[in-house]
Amino acid sequence: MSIDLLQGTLDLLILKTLALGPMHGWAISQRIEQVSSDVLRVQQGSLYPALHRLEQHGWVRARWGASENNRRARYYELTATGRKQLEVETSNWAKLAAAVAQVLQEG
Amino acid sequence: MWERLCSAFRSLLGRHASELELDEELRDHLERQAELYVARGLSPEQARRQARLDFGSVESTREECREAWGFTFLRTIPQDLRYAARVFAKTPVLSAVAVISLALGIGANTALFSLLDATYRRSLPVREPEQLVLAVNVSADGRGWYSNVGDVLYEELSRSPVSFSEVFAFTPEDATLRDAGGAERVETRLVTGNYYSALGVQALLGRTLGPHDDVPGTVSQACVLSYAFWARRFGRDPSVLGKVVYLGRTPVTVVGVTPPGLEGMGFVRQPDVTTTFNGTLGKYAVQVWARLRPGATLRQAQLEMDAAFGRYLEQLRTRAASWPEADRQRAFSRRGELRPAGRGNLELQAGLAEPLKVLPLLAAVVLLVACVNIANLLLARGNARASEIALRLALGAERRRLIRQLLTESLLLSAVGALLGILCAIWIHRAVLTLLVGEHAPEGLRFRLDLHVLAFTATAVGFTTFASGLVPALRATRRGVSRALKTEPSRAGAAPRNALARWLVVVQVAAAVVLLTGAGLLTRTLINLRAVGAGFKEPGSLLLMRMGLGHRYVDGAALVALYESILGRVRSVPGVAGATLAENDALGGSYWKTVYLPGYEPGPRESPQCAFNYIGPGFFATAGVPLLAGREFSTRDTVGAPEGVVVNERFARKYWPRENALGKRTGPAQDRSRWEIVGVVADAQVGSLRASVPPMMYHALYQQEKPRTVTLHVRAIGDPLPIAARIRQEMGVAEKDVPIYDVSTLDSRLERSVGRERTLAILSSFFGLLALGLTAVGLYGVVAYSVTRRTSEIGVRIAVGAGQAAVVWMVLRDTLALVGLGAAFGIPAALAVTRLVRGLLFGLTATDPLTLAGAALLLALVGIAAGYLPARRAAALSPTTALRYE
Repeated sequence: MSIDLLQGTLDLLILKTLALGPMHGWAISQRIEQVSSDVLRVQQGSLYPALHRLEQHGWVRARWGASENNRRARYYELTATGRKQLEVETSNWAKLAAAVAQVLQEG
Repeated sequence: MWERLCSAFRSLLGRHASELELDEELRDHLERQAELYVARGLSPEQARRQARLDFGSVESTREECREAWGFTFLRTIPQDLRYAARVFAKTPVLSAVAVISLALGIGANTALFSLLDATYRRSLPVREPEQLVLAVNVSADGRGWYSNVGDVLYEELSRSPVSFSEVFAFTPEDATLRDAGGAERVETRLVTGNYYSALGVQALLGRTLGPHDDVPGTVSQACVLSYAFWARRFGRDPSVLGKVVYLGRTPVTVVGVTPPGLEGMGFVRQPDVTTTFNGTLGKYAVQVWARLRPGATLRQAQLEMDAAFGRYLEQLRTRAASWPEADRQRAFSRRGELRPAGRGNLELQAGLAEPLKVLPLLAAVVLLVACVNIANLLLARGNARASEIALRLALGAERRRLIRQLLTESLLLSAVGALLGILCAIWIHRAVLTLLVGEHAPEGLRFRLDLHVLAFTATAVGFTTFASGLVPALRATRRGVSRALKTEPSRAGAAPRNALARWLVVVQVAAAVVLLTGAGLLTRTLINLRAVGAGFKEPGSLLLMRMGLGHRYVDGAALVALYESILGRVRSVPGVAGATLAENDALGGSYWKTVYLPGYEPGPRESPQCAFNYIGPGFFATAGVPLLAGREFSTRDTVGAPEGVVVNERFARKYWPRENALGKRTGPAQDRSRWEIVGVVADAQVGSLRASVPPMMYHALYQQEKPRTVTLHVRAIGDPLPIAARIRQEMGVAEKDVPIYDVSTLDSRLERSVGRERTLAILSSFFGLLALGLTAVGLYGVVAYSVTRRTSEIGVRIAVGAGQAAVVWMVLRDTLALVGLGAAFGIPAALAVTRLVRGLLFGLTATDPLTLAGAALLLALVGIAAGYLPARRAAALSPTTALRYE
């Protein structure tokens, strides 16, 4: 079973994935699926708009580079501001999750 | 934020490169995904297909990425423009009408803006114009001011060097210029020696004048020519330097030529020849200008001005001792002010202040009316494309995107309209300037397409785009438009769905009422003024020609002989019924003086003034002014004979209301019985047609000592112009050095004197008729649309037996309802707005009911005409086709 991701959460997961090091788009989507044990499936069509948007905000930086078998790929890496944004969004997510959990407990 | 802008801009510029990169990136992704599937065992075909399915719509991903880049609208605009152009090309007539009406609207506004710009903002082409100030003499309440102050004030200001780095003065003068090539009347300007250095103007050829030229009693006086005059009279020949010409009786040497483009500098009248005062400054009322020191403020300078003006008033006291009390009080209550003079054209400002308040308002209203038409056009288009738009919205198009596209359509109309409008503006600007100022408007006032004007036009385009396009765009894309997908003409009884369009047309009608009322008032003012008789018989056959005699070395009896000899020659020309001389001609302005009668003391507030003129024998007979009592001047009234004067009826009745004025005496302040009143004539106009005729005194020209500039008055039989040409010929042979200029008939002088009223009448009528035409188009559109919507209803009516007349009446009633509603709003609006032009009217009030009724009636007639065609079409419907329309 896989749950489709909302846009805001996709941004968070991309930032987190990139925190480990620069990656190209396809690799990012594979990574997220792997790490979540295939629970989270990335809507491939919305991945690239998200990446480009993050680039516009200045949270990631992109450059063309060579991948494993000498293929050209566009690599994204986290910027300093991106790192800060990651922290902000992580804490927001934690707060959200805690609040939802609390409401569910009450019921 | 800054990074976003940078990268958005970069992506805009490197758009193509970004697109290629995006393609590559997405392709790369799909390949990798396909490889994954191949590794899992699918065939390459199936793998690629699966990868594609996983990805989803590549195109919409691309689109979303583009959105993320930002500034998408900049990319879509060229696309939208091309689409809009195609749409408009399909209905060329309608589009042409729209563009032309916008061109006229935007053009009129731009022309008036550039006129305002030239009058108030354009800097003088001199060094640091913002430092220049003008000294004016202001009345106590600040409303009346004049800039011809005396030499005393000039002297006093020159003594205040703290705030001023330069103080200079000048005055305009007519003179006759004579050289080997003949005599010509020229505009001269007498200046102080520091004039050119204070202004910072360099000579184009030779040198300008300096303080060493401004020496009283100098033997060789120097002068400088203007570029335009140098080109006109000397053909730009550089050998003019060093030439000696005669100005009046004085020989002057040409020492330089000024550069072109100085014309229009501050005043409409520009000098052909400039020379120095050489000690004569005291004889003139001069303009006094000053240049502020860098760092000096106007307030500091004003303090010095106040001090100087105080000293001037002190010196005035002795001279004013003999004045009437009222005059004295008025003179001493005035004060001196410094006004910034580096911008604009002071003469135009004074003359144009009233019209320039009204005209831009009219032009703005016309533009609004044009915008309403465009809006209705776009509304109708929007309705017609309702199904297409609904489909696009249903398919997921963003509302904002569609609005952008629709706005682009009105942007295209406005932009094309503006380009044509600039051409219109050049023409309208020139026409208005000619109407107001005459044929030879100076270069500096011409239409200039500079940054300010362009900015204004761009703003007008923006305004027009939104005014005409926003509401239709919002309308066309609103929610609930799915109703449009099931569109059908309304069934009988349903209210017409173009309610918005109808209200807009009502607004148009109201605006047209206001404009037409204004036009009517101003036109009737012109008619009323023209109907005011000037008091002369047959003004069309009275020729007026000015002759410059000031340079002739004759006086006394020889002068009279000269006059008579000239008149003799003129009278010998066939077609001349009578000829005489006078110093000032009718409507040419006149001299004024205070009236002193023996034993008459004016009251404390009275200042008895009269106008006066010098006239030759037989003046009233020639000019056609009835003699009421006594006699005219004759050739016997020369120097040495007892001095008599003739007064007009107004004068006689004012001072001797119940007696005969003949035989009574008057005179100057020192000798109040010097002159005997020998004749009384009917009132004849001397100044503006608006003012009532003043009391007037006429002196005998032949009794004056010195030769003056005189106006030849000739009564012609038949067409006056060829007679004028013959007279010129005669004079050219006999008296070669007497220039003849300013030739016209009294008729054309009268016409010239109402120049401002004529301008206003012509322009306001132009705007009013334009608005009327646009409103007619708007009415036609709305009524035609209504008919289309009610086709089935009409079909039912006809089928049930309604006659043609009834159907026509039904449509016309609809039209008249719109016009009536518009008039209901327009009439009160007109009453409120026309109050603004109160000061321009003559012979009628701003709330004149006849004019208002006329405007409303005109609109009703035009409305009927506009509605007639759709009405006819409705009546000609066959019921079966109408009912089958669904």
